[in-house]
Amino acid sequence: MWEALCWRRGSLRYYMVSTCLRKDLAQPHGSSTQTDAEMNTAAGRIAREHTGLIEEGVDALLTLLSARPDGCSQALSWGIYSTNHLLALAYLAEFSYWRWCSLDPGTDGNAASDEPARRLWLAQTLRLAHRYLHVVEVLMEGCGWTTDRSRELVRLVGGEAPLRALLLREWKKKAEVEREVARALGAPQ
Amino acid sequence: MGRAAEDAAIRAFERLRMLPGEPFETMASAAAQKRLARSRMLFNVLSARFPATKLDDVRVMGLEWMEGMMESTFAAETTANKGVGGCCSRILVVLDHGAEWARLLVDAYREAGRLASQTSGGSSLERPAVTPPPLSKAEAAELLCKACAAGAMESIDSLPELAAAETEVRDRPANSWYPCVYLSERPAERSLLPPVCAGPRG
Repeated sequence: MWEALCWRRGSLRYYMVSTCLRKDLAQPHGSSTQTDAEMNTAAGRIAREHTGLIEEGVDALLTLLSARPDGCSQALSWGIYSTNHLLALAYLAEFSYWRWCSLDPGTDGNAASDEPARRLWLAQTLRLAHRYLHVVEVLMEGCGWTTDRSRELVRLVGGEAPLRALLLREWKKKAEVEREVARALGAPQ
Repeated sequence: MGRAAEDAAIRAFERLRMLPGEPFETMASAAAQKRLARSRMLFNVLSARFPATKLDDVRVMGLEWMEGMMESTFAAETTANKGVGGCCSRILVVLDHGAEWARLLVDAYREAGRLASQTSGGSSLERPAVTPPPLSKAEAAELLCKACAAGAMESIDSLPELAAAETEVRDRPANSWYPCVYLSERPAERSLLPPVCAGPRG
């Protein structure tokens, strides 16, 4: 019941924010393709209006993923006990990306003092997007879930270099990290 | 053993009952409406008879309300997803109050000694490894500076990278207690560390 409540509180907020973003970011036919930086700035401008919903959604979904004691497997230790938990992980990565965008230094009202928080949200986006990729493509290989968006998120927040740095901090073993970076940033499996 | 938390949970349930839930209830199944009605009946009994009541009955009252509320708001939420209604914010108010009340119930069980304390592990409210994120040395230095400036070293205990550094810093003589210097590898960086917040925030 508690997990269901956390899921509903987080997913409804995700629905509300993503609806606003989709509506406002929809490009008219014939418009030029945006660069990653332009996409980040545009998303950040809208996300700034919803920072409360984003952070409350993050809190609810993190609570969902921490509702049970650690399991023995990698997926369980990351809180993935069901497809809802996996979807929560994907939503969390998206939430974190939006919050990172909302602190874009190019957006009016953001100060230089926001930079440390921005770096932490970036790290959280990378960590969560990569975890989703790893669960779907490695731990649950062949499950049929799409990873296009998570791969895109990793690219939007910097791609290879920050992902390598993050994995080196967490996994420690350089050879494993190099293999994982190449796999995660390669073509979808 | 005191029962203040149990009393607070019963009294707080009054606020749940006053939430604008009726618009959602009409969309719920008969079974969900029956659960909501049962929770109200239990509340009337518990609030009238406390302290001659059982904690498990408070839990049953809450579960009945939660299940009825979850089902009735889910029907409304599904309608909202189809673009028919604009009631998401009102649903969130109901769900959030439900979560807050669940925490009061947890407090009541802790008070009764029937649930391990929050720090003993296994709590449903503890965070997994995804938060707080591991910090780089520079980030750790910035956070220590902020914590020192605020005089709130205890607030960083949850950050594993900082907890170890803090222990070492505390063991140093007072006149050499400069966390920024301790954590910064290059002297030139020492005065450039900006004041920062302690993590992702709004």
